[in-house]
Amino acid sequence: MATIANKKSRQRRRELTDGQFALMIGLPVILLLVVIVAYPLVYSAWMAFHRIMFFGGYRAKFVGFKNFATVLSDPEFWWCTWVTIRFTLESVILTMLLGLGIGLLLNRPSRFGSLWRTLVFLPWCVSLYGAGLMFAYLARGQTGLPTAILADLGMQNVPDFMTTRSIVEVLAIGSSWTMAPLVGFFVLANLKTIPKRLYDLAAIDQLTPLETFWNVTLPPLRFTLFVFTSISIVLSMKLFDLIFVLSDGGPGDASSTLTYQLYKVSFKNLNLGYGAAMSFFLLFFIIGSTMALYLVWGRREKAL
Amino acid sequence: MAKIELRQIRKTYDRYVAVENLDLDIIDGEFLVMLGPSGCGKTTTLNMIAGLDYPSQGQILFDGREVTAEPPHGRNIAMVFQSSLLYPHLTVRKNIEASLRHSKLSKAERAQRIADAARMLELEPMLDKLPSQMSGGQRQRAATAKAIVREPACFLLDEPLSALDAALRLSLRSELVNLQKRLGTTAVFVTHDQVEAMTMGDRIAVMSKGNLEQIGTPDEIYNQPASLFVATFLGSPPMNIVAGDVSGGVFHAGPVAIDLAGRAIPNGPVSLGVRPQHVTVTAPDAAGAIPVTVYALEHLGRESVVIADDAGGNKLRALVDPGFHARIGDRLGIMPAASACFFFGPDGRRISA
Repeated sequence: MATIANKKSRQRRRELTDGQFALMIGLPVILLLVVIVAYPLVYSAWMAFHRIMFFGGYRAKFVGFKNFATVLSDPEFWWCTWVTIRFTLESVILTMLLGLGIGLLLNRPSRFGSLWRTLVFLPWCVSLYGAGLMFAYLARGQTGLPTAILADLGMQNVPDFMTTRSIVEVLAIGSSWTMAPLVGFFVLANLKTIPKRLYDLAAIDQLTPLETFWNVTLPPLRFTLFVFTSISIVLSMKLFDLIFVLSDGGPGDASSTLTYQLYKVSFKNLNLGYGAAMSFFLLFFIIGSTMALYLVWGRREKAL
Repeated sequence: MAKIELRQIRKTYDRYVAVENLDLDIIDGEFLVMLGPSGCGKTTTLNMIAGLDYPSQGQILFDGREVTAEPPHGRNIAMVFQSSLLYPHLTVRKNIEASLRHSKLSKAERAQRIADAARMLELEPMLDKLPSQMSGGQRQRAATAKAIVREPACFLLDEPLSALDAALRLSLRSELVNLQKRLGTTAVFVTHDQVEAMTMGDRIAVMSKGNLEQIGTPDEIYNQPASLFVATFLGSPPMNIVAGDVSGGVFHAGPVAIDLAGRAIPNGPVSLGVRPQHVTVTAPDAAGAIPVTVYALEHLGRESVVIADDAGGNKLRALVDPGFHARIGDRLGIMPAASACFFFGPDGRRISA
């Protein structure tokens, strides 16, 4: 009897607690995150406090908060912050409106429903690099598509959207073009959960189309809209590839968002310490704006 | 208050006929139940009365005024939907208010009506709760309150009790009828539950496959069913049906012969229908009895039901005293009381005699 009891208790000791099991199956991902997130983060924090020199041999000299102070007094940084805000606002609003529109349109009964769904989803599958090339052709003056079409129609106009005044809008349209389908599909999935009879109830209550939208259609979408607004804020603020391909930060510095400026400072000017310090400002902006969004909007929403 | 008339209503969806040539007069102040299996057209008819759907042909009149093409708000109706539909993100108070949003009432009047409805349905402690925080019965009361605040000419109810558990359904049934009688408002209630129909309706309209089979009081529907469909759809346990034919005042089904005791049923093929309470259980070889084999015995407390197979495998039921004993496989006879039998012709209509 005693030996059996012993065996049993030894077996029990070998069992893992839930926490241990979670740690065990999570370990590969945790290690991966340490390598690809924690290490670069710590390293860039280290760089932000140093002046890093390449010429005449690689050296790093501790400079304290000097890099951070320089960022704050750099007019170029503030210009890029303004460009980032303008681009993010436009891109997020456009993405959400387009996504909502796509969801609502796809929810209508249609003869080629599944074909439409496939077609509408395709932009999301296009790489930002490809989208950048395409929108460059659409926006460009001399060699752009609009000019060619107008020329075929016998007109001499050279519509050019790659100007300092409109390049941010071109970028916003391009980025929302790639993001909106995904938002649209999540909206569509939510719309499918609305009981049809709720629209009948609204008809009996004599609600106007706007009131019906507000009271029947919108409530189940609100959480999804909040989540995707957060996601697209983050994605817009850190968007790089589309800008790099489409406008290369230009004309001049008209489309230099903070991410583009970081790239320029760190990898073109090789001012790694200064770039690292600037990247922390971008990180604070991203965290700050999503936190603010959560406080003013997200707290009131709950997942259905 | 409203008298509602449906004139030759026909509703088709592409090639599918949902409702066929329906004539229906709903009397002012009555509680009319529309009963039928799913797909019989009862909800479609209700939608057309509400103005949520429009007939392909025919006319709808409210108090003699044609409203066929009018949207719901031209008709002064209120509707309660299946599973007591409410706006899920609005509190009960806001849900009830939504009914009055486009009425021309003053603020004070609205508040008064909401307070009255809440008191009548005992909703006062729940006015600030969301539908998801309430039980099924409370939601049902809230949906009813939402309907009565408008003081409509007519209540339309689309299986409002079907999502509730049996005990709650039982208590809400009488509650709804009591409320309707106190308010005196015409009500049309759609259900597929024959017990609901029998207990609630002043009149029952039985529908099948888009056709009105019969309309009448519960007593008429139960005791004088117009067709085989009505006879078998109402009644629990259901009516026994035996196919056979009549010749010379005697009903024959295979070897069985039942003397019709002078009832004038014309010769020819008929179906005999008899309710389980109108048969007696006898020995298998008794004259005029159908020989059966016991399949199951159900105890209901006050009485028991014998379910038995006849020679053709057709299930027959008999109500017996609770003390009745039989084993599965026992041979018995089931003898219908000739005076209580119904006879249905090959077209399914009842042969009256």
